[in-house]
Amino acid sequence: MSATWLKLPLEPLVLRDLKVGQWVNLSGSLYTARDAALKQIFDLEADNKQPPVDLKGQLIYFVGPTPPAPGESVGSAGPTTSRRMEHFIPALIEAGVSGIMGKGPLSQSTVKELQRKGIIYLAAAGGAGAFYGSKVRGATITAYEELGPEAIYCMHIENFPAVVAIDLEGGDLFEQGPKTYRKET
Amino acid sequence: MREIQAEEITSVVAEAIKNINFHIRPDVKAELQRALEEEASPLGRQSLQLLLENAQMAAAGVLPLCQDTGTTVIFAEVGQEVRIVGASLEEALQAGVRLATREGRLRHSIAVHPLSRGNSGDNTPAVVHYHPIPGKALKLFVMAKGGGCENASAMAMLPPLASRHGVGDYIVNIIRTNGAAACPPLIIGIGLGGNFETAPLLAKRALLRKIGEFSPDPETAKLEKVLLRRINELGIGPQGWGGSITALSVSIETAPCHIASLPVAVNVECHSHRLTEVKI
Repeated sequence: MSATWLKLPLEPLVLRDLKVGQWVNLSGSLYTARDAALKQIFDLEADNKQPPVDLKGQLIYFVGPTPPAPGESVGSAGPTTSRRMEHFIPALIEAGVSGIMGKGPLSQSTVKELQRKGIIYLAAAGGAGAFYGSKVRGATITAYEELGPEAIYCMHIENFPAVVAIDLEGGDLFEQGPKTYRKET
Repeated sequence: MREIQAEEITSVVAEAIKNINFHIRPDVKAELQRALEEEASPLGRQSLQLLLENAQMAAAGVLPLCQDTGTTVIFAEVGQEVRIVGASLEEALQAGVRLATREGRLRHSIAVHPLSRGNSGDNTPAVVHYHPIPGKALKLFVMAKGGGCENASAMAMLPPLASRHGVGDYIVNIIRTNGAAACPPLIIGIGLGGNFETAPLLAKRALLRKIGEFSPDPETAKLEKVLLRRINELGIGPQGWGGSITALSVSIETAPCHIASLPVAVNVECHSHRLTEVKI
């Protein structure tokens, strides 16, 4: 499969060229977050307080990795369900993220909101935890260590494949893909 | 009476849990390879290829197949002539979960309370279902059930005279709505009949069947085939990225039910399908 190489953090200019269904190969640093950490960030935003990490311009990866083997930084690290994070996405938008990555579809209203703010959604392959874990070159806990697998990590990844799922024109892979192959009568 | 040491059970359960988290089942691997050949979408095929590569990497025993190492679900079939020595069966099984979590470096995925959300730190408690059976054997089905696909599951109390097609519509609609987020290609367990608490249990039990095997009851097998076709016609495809293979199998277990009821439960399972059967 041919893929577009992308450096992290994402350059705003390259986002415009990304199209739904296109593979990208990511290298660089991102931040992880999932339910419990996002809830805390969301609550801080609601109180007009700053999140503990500056997420501006960053790609946020929805993941809760397994513990690392000795000498490694994380274990398996595949995507978790993005739909569960929808409630917190406005807080991430507020924090100025450039993109989000996870698995599965997002609602139409979120798709529109992401498009309006120029934020990309990348889909990683769900259930490929070992594969993605092997693409992580380093990871440090940045916040909420007490949350265990739900802590926020700064993760350095290399050659990490994902598919553009929502592009800046509002294209939505989870809408368009199934429509192409639907055979229901 | 046959005596079984609790320690032996603990060690067998721990090995089973580690095994399923690192080694894909042969039937699932064969199904993924078949899907790779049959899938119409290039993106779908590429994602299936990635899953097969993932399985190969996990088999080295360092990185689990999926970072969601799941809730441990155990169906324990306990011979009536078996006596467990040293600890209770429940304690022996839970100790196995703790041991596997430590030795396998599995993720801590269990919240001790649904609202306060503190982590149990060792993946206990496992969900255990006990069934007495005649004889001297202890049979355990050990499953690591992911949270994402469990979330896609649902049940309903349908009107008693809902047609086969109507029952099918309910099931297909659950997959239409929830399937893409549950890591397709899916394995779908369905419980038909029973009552409010047994239908979901039947659905979970349906997942214990070998992939590719249909019900021995011809009527049920027919419904399984129809549902598998209808679900694949949804076009959701691998990962929900669009494609011709949304599910690898549909298994239905049935039970008698009240004349006023037709309970139906859909238990959605992801393609990792971490399950094994051990006999002590």
